[in-house]
Formats: sequence, C-alpha cells, structure tokens
Amino acid sequence: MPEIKQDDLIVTRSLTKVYRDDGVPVEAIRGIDLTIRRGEFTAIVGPSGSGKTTFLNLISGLDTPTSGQVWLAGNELSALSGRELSDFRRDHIGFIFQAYNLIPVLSVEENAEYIMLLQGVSPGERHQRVEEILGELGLKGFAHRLPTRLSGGQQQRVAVARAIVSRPSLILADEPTANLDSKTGAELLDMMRELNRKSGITFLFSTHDQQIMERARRLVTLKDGRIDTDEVKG
Amino acid sequence: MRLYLKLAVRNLLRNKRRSFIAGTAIGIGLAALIFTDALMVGMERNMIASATESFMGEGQIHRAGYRESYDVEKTINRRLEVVSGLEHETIIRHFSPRVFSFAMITSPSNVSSVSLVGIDPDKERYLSQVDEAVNSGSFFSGTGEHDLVIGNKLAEILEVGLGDRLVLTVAQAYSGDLSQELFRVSGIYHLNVQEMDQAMALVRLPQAQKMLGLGEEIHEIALRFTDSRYAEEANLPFWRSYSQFGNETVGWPELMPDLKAAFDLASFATFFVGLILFGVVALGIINTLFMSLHERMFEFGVLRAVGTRSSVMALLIVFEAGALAALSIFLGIILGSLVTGIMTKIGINYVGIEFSGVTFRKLLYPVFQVKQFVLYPLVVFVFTVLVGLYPAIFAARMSPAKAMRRSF
Amino acid sequence: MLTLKMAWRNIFRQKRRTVLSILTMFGGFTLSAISIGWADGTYNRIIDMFTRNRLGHIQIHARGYLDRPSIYKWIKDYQKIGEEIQKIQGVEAWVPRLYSAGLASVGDKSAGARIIGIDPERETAATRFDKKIIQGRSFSPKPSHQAILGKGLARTLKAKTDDQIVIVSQGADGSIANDLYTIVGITESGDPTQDLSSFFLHLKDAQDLLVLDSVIHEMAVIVSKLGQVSRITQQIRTTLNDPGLEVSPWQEFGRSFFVAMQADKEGNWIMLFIVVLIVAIGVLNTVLMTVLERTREYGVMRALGTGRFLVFRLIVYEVALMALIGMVIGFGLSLLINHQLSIHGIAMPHAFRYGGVEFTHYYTEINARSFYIPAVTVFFSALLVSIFPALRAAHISPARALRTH
Repeated sequence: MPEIKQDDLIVTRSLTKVYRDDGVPVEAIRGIDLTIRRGEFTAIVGPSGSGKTTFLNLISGLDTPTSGQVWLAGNELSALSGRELSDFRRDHIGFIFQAYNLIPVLSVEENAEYIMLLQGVSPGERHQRVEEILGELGLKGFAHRLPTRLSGGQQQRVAVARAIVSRPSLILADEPTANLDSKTGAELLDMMRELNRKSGITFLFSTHDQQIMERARRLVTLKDGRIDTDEVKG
Repeated sequence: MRLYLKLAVRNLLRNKRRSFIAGTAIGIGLAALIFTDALMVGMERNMIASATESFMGEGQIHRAGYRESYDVEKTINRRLEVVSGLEHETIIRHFSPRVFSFAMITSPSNVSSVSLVGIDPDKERYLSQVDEAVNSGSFFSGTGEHDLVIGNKLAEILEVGLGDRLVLTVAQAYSGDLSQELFRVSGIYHLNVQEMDQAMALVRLPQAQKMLGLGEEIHEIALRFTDSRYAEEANLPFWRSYSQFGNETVGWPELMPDLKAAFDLASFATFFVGLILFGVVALGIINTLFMSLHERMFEFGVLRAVGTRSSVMALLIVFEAGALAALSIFLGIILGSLVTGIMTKIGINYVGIEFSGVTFRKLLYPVFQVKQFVLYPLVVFVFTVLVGLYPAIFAARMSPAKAMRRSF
Repeated sequence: MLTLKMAWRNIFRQKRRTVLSILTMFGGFTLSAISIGWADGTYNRIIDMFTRNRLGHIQIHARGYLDRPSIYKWIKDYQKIGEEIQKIQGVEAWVPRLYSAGLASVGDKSAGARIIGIDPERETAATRFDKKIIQGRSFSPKPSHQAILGKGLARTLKAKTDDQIVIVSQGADGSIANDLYTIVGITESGDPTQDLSSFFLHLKDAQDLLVLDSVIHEMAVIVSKLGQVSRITQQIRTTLNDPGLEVSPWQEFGRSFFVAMQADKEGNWIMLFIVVLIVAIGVLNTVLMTVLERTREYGVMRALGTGRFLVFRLIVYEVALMALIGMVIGFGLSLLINHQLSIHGIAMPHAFRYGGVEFTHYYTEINARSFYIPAVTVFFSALLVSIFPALRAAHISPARALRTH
C-alpha cells in the first residue's frame, strides 16, 4: 500500500480495465498511476476512446477495475460493498454528465435537493441551500421549472447545483460542455472555477474542450489507456 | 416516502397513453372478476330461490330412508310431536305437510304417470309458489273435496281444462290394492319448471291420505326458516333435534347435492380461468414496466451514480407498479360497475333452462357485493406489485456504468 | 424477401420484450384452445351419450306428438318408413318405440311407470341396449311377456329378475289394460330420472297391452356422424314427404339440454373475447413502444428512399412472426394438454347434472376448431392492433425523425 497523505484525495495504482466486447478484449485503461490532491481543478484530456470516461467510472466506483487499486479519501474502493460505494458517492462525490443529468419529472428545486434527500437533510435546510445555490448560479426563480423547459446551459447549471449542494469533496464532470455553445460553456466553467476557489471542492474533468483545458490548473493526457503527459500549469 | 410516490406517479404520467393502455388491460381483468363474481352470486341466489321457493322449501323432514325409495309406507314418525314442536320453533317461519305417491292419471284422451301430492292449501300457500303460479281457476279456494290442481303442460297432454274430470289411480299402502278416485280440475298453474308443470297433480291432504290408506300420516314436512341462511348452516342444532326417533331433517344443500357441487365446480372453473387470464395480464405488466425502464436507462445510471442505493432503485419500480395498479383499479372498478350495473337492470334470460336439477324461473341478475370492491381490487393491487418485483430487481441489479453506456 | 429477413432479425433485438410478447400471445392462444377443446369435448360427449345411447339423433313422430304426447298419435307402416330411411346415406340404424304410462306393481309395492315398447334386436344394434343391462339379460327374440325395468324402478318396487310384475294402463280403445310379465333384466341408462320409471316391453307385447295394432309412437334414427344431423333430417323430410309426420333433430327433442348448452357456449365466447382483448392490448403497447424507440431508425430508412409501404410491412411482419412463434408453441402445448385430457378426462368429485343428463368426467376433445379459432382470433387481432402503430411509423417524416436524439 502506497503512502497516502492527508491531502491525497484520489490515488490509483496500476489501474487497469479490460472490456470484453463480444469476445474481443479491449484494454481501455492500462496500468494508470495517478494522484489527485484536494482542491485541484484538473482536466483529463485525450481523444475519443483514450479511456477518459472509463477512468472516471473507475475512480468513482461506478465500475470495477480488472486489476489495480483505487483509494478515495484513504478508502480502498475494492474493499467497499455495493451499498458502501453507493453511500460513499452520495456523501463525497458529485457528478456532472454531458447530458441528461436531470430527472425529467422533477422540478429544478426537486432535482437539486435530490442528493440531500438521500442524505437525510431536513426540509428546511434543503430549501435554504437550494435557494442559495440557485441564486449563485443565476437560476433564481427557476425553482419550479421542469428540465424540459430549460436550455442546455441551464440544465447543466442545475446539474452543478445538485452536485455542489450536497457538499461533496470531489466533483467529476464528464464532457460537461460538449452539448453547449462556447459562450454558455465558458460561463459554466467560470462558475465552476469560482466554486472551486471558494469552497475548495476538487474538480476533475474529462474532456477535449479547449475552454476547459485553458482553465484547468493541471492537465493529464491519456493516450491508448496510459498517461501520456501530466503538467501543472502556473 | 413521499419522494417515491412523487416519482412513481409522475413517471406514470410521463407516457400517458402507454400507462392508460396498460391500466386498461389490467382494469379489464379486474372488471371481468367483478362481473363474473356478481354473476355467480346472482346465479346461486336465483337457483337456490328457484329451488326452495317454488316447491321444495328450505329444508324437509322425512322418515329416515324415505328419500332413497319413496316408499309410501315410510311416513314420518311421531307426527304430532314433530308438528307441535315446529309450531313453537322460533327459527321456523312456515311449514307444510305433504303426502306423495306415484299415480296414473287418465283423461278421455290420454293417460300419464304423475306424482300425486296431497297438501294442506292454507299451509302450502306460505311455503311454495304454486298458488301464485295458478293462472286458471284457483288454488283450492273452494271447498270441493275432489278439487285437483295440475300444471299447464299436463293439462295440455291430457287435453283437459277447468272443470273437466280426471281419474287418479294409486296403489294403496300396505296392501298394494289399486285405488281410484275421480277428481275435478279446479286450478291450472304454470310454474315454468318442466317437471312440475308436467308431472304433478295436487289434491287436498285428506283425499290423498284416504286414497292411499294412510290414515293421518304424512311423508314430508317442507320448511321455511325465518332467515334463509339457516338452511346452509350445517351445525344448526335444529337438524339434530328433528332427526330423532327415526326421522331425518335436512336442508336444501343435502336435498340437492348436485346444486352445491355445481356451484363449487363453477367457482373452481372460474378461478382456473381467472388464473390464466391474470397470467396474461402479468405479462402485460412486466412488458409495460420494462418498457418504461428501458427508456430511462441513462437516468437510472445517473441516479445510481449520485448515490442512490440499489434497494431504493427497486423500490422506485415497485412504487411505479403500485401507481399503475392504482390506475388500473380505478379503471377496472368503473368498467366493472358499469357493465355489472347495466346487467342488474337488464338481467340475463335463462328462464326455463335447467341446470343441476334446478330450472331458472326468473331473470338472472348479477349481485354487487362488498368483497368485489374491496377484496378483488386488493388482490389485483398486490398481484401487480408482486409482478413488478421482476423489473424492480432488474433495475436494482444494474451497474451504473452499464446503464449509462447503453444509451450512448 | 428482405423485409421478412429484417423483420425476423428485428424481433431478436429486444429479447426480453419479444419473449414477453410471444408469451402473451402464446398464453392467449393456449387458454382459448384448451377452453374450446374442453367445451366441445364435454358437449359432444354429452350429446353423443344422449343421442347415440338412448334418444337417437333424429326422431320421427306423428305431427304434434312431441308437443302433446298422446297414445292416439301413432305412426302407421313404420316398416316401410324404416326401409326408406335406411337407404339415406349416413343413416346407421333406426328403432321403433311405443310409449304409454301406467302403474306397475310387484307384490304389494307399486310405482308409476313409463311403458316403452321396443324391438330388442334393432334396439341392441342401434343403441346397445343389451350393454346397459346390469342384472339378468335382454329380451328373448320372440315376444314372451317379459319386462325389463330401469334400475330406480326396480329398487322402488324391490323387484329382482324372475319376479312377476303387473302393469295397469289405459288401452287405446278406452279399456283398462293390465297384464302380468316376468322381469328378465334390469337396466341402467345413465339418467337416474329415466331409470326411476322405465318399464321396457317387447314391442309386440306392448302393442297387445295397449290395443295398438302394428303402430308405434316414435322412430329414433342413429346417424354415423353428428355433423350430418341437419342434412339427414332434411333428407328424411323430403323422402317421406308426409305432412302427418314430424321429423325432429336432437336439438328439438332435446331442447332443454340444447338450450342450456347454447347459454353456456355464449358465456364461453364472452370469456374468449376478453382474453383476446387483453392480449391485443398487450401487443398494442409493445408495438407502439418499439415504433417510438425506432423513430430515428425509420427516419433514416425513409430518408434513404424506403417506401412507406415497406416500413408498414416491416412492423406488421414483426408482429406476425412473433404471433406465429407464440401460436406454434401454444399449439404444441395445448395439443399435449388436450390430448391427455381427452383420454383421461378430469374426474369430478361429484356427478354432475346438466340439462337433464348426468355425467362424471370432464373430457376435452382434439378438433380443428380448438386450434383454428384461437389461431385466427389471436393472429388477426394482433395484426389488427399493429396497424395503427405501423401506419404511424410509415408516415414518419424523415427530417423530423432525424432530429430525435
């Protein structure tokens, strides 16, 4: 077991994932060693098929590796049961996907407070936090709208709200701006960077969007399932 | 939790057409259950009433063994005691003494074999419905000793009408000697029961007793209770207390075992068919739930990703099944009440049809019962939710990554 | 054909949904097949018992006899009539019968009796009269003042074979008819009510008793195939061409049973209808869903130049294929079940009276009807129901469809 410091949020050792697609083995991730510290605003970059999404799935417990290990906040994921993983995600990780983040039948407010509901937060507290975050993200007055009546950018902001409001340590965003026009995308990213600065929540992106790469303080490039480059920008 | 309910109902409303169609299929199943049950209850009541009210009575007293051979010598033991006992019996509303014998009846045109029945008209009036079925002449309203009341079919066969004379021939008890008497047709009835309209000849009790050389003895006492349900109670002490001294007292279920058997058989057949029917319905439920699941795969992946436990995922589906069940029950009750309600006004015409020894005399009406609107909907609800467990477990077992990979 | 190939492959795309749809149609088919097989088996068996064993498929009487039986409504020259009937194709046998009512006594016991004069040879050949005798034997070929009693009548009179029995009745000339006979046999017909009063005599003995010279009341005709009854009835009518005679098929003289059976059959049709309805609804939902999911795909097909009709056919073929599979499996299973039940039947805990006939077992029957009726109804209702979604799919505008997802 490697030495894990207090500050290390995500640590992977020889992380490997092999898929079997109709009997043909595909090595999506090959032996990745990576450490992400608390408070980082990092982007995992690479062409399609380089394993970015797989990597994010592995470090969040959404998928299990073929070999290798993952530690999240000092917890080795393979040691956790399905329920423990589930609860861990609930309490420590926020997710923002490329699209279809929201539950279509729930309103903006109901979507945003969903995770807090799972956590058992009191109604009053939930309402207060949601109101606050919606205000911060420029969604004041949208509380009762349904996702179908929101623009792509607004939907993504609600996803951010939901992710933030449950007070996670880490937010994983998989191509959050891919379906947005560049202006909306830029606005969204600036909001997220602001949140990262204010609250210290770690942000990890998987993307090939220039705008994210510009704003990230660390860029990890994946190629053919391995880490190609790993730079920390100034 | 209110969240589950919220999600379940809203998800159901997401695809209104599909939910409505699925709900209709299940609802039709429930409606069929309600209607069939109402019909069976109605049929039972109709047939029991037809059997017991037209002539048989709700129970009968005989000498033990009389029913096997209809031996004219097997008269009721301790007749006076039995009769006085009955008069003081609180659960007996009416009773009527009778004498039976096989007889030959001849008219100038024809000859037929009939059942000669000696009755006490004043007592018989309250027990059977023959008096009400008389449409020509009267039911022993005069005082003529040799009055005879026969069914319309018999009258036709013998080619006689009111006032005509007929000869009845019987064999006397104990001696076997033939005894003949002339009677006058004083009433003709139409009960709509073939057997009775064609093969029964009613005379006054003393006349029959005299012809058969029975003195004052009788073969049968037909009974009517204050509450017709007594007749079905096997443990009623009444049966035992009147089955002493060589007599036998039984209720209509024993007098007509065929009927009880027929009802049981009908219930069983209905149950069996209902089972298969609901098997088909179950397939529809599973299909519907899976379809709604399938189009939300990614959404389910997201829910799991953000920390929803798999048990909660299953619960979501179960609640959806429950919501679907609620909708179906609503539709089913409306449809069922409508169809059954209409039939309670129109009725089904089985008049004249014989089934298990009983002929329908009145229109068949279905009967609403509480259990149809409480028990059956509950059963359908539980059934739908149980069937929903299959897709629920499927949803729970799904790995988040796989769910999200599917749609993209 | 390409469409058929595509349709076939398409149904395997969504395995669970296809399996469920096939199961639905299979369930509907099997339920209907067994139900019809059961109903037909039971009814036909009863009808057969009724007709072949006792009453005959067709009966001939003097006009008005059925409605108001009378000793005076007789049939003359029945031998000649018999010869004519025998020539008709499909007629197996005919028997003459004479009826009256009387009082029978053995010792000091008496009971009402239905006097039935029969021709023992003909009766045995046509309705297996001798097989129903449970005690003693059948009549001697020549009339010898012998009587055969129904089981219930014998019990009431406490009579056994070789006992002497007196019958009293009214002759056709108005005189009292009475005579003494020797009981040679006791018979059980299967209908306890009949057995309570049946008193069989040799036809000649009966004619002598009732002063009816060489006439009878009824001719019962047995045919070889139940389905031929209407045709043969018609033929007898035209052959005899006698307004004084009435030719009635079993549906008329067995009216009470026939009517009860019709009523029951109606109930069955209604149940069948409900089953097919539920199956159809299930199929509708599935097809609608599938079409919706594949909107984009159909859009692509149409954009590439696929005709509307082909898209329509594609969906209909898919439903048809699933229906066929469901029916083939259903056919197999219901054949198996029906076969078993037609041989062994389901024994009932209590004998059952229906329309005046008693029976103890339920049998099913394997016949064409129990397969083609469910097949046609399930198949066509599934196809019918798929028309609406198929039309929708065929009319998808490619541009709009391509915008989805």
